[in-house]
Amino acid sequence: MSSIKIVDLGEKSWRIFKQTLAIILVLVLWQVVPSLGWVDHRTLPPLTDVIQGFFELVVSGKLFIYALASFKRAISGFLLAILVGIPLGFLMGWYKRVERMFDPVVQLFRNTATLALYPVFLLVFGLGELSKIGIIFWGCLWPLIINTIDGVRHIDPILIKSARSMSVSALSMFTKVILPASIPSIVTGLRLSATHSIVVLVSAEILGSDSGLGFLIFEAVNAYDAPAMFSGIIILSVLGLSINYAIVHFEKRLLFWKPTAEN
Amino acid sequence: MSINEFSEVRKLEESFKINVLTSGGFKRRTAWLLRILEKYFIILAIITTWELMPRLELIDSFLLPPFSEVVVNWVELITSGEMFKHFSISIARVLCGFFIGIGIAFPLGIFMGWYKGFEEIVDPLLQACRSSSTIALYPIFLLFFGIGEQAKIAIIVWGTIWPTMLSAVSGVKNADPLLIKSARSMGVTGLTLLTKVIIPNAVPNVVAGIRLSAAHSLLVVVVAEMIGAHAGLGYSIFYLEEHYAVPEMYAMIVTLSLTGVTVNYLLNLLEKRLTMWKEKVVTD
Repeated sequence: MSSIKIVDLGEKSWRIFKQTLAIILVLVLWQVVPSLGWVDHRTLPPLTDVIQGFFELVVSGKLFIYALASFKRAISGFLLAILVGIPLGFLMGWYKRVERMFDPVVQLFRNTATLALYPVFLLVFGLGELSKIGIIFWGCLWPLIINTIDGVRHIDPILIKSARSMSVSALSMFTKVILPASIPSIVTGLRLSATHSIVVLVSAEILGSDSGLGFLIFEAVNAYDAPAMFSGIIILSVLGLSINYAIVHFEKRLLFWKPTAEN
Repeated sequence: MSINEFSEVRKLEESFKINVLTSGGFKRRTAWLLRILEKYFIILAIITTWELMPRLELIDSFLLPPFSEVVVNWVELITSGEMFKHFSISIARVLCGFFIGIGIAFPLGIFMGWYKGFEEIVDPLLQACRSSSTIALYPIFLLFFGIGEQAKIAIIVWGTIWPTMLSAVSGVKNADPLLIKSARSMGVTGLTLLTKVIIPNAVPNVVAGIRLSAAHSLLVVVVAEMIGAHAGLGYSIFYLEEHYAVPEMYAMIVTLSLTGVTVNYLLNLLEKRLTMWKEKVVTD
């Protein structure tokens, strides 16, 4: 019994070691290369300097304020896009005619680089929060619509036909068949638009803002404060990773009923 | 007599055929026309609203100049050569970064999918790199490469690499074991297995990744040019906005949209071409 446990433990720690090996290697290189003077300190400060800069930002409270500002913008835009995009996607996925009519517009807007429209948002909404939330909303909207349409259109026809043969009402057809069956695709849309929202957020904050993580990064660059810049970038990466992780977790919760192909 | 009768019948038949066919053709043509109309109805409606709203002063024509004015400016920018200058600079950056990125990502992705041990070790790093917002890294590229072309191309390469690489890895990893086993049972090994079975099987996946990469590279070039450049579509859009040359700004945005749609269309064609052999599950 105990020997099995030890083997298990050994295997587990070996796996963790393997998974973190590459990241540890990068961190070590990050510390060693600038310390040995192979790269200029001002371009790439050693990891310890970055950590120190990070703590300074945390202690001064600046980081928290900026992260909160960014987070508020991203979440507002993202939630608005969900509220608008998913119902629209259902509408367009279910009524072929609506989809046919709107498809060229969706294609046009989806293929327009989101940030190209940022100046328009600036003109219309001014430099305040509204233009940032607006552009994030816009960027998140299209992946959500497209993936919801895809989810509804690729539902197994047998499911819909059997539900019909049991003469379910339109409402329960939607809540019991269409909605659950299209969730995997919708979650893909959520993930795509969440990643996109962070890209848009950072760009919008760099281009015109006086708060937020994107602003922090760019302010640090202009002040030649590389540790602060790297701190901002790391926080953003962690934010991106955790949002992605949260959505994957959410998907698993929602799809507990679905058998997976893995053995 | 019988021959006469026969020819009569033939004549009737012929006239009937002509009538029915032409009217059928007519119907089909009107149906086709209706379809086209239906398809572009919304776009036409949007353009009409765009034209009328500022003209009827429902919206400030400074913020949204009428569509016709934008078109006039678009034509002017094209004839003056200004449009082509910015367009070609942006496209050159995108193409350069995109092809370098694909050139790195595709072989590396195949390699990592093939050697599972290597992939296991590198995967966390890849996930971290992929999740970090490309634009957030742009300052680092500026620090390392300066504000010249190199930084812009490098950030496009960075943005291009991850979607393609990850899709190549998953394409190779998720190859149907049956295919590999049957190839092996026919004595196929090593390089042939890779080039004849695994890579073709991964292509649909890779092309999906390439499409994501292309869309991303267009986004990245626009932002990079807005942040620090002296030419290019992104730069000119931002510059024109700052100088309140609004119709010209819209003209540049329209060009960028058309570029995005064209790129998407071309990649669609490529995808169809490369996945011709694949049986379709969904017919639509």
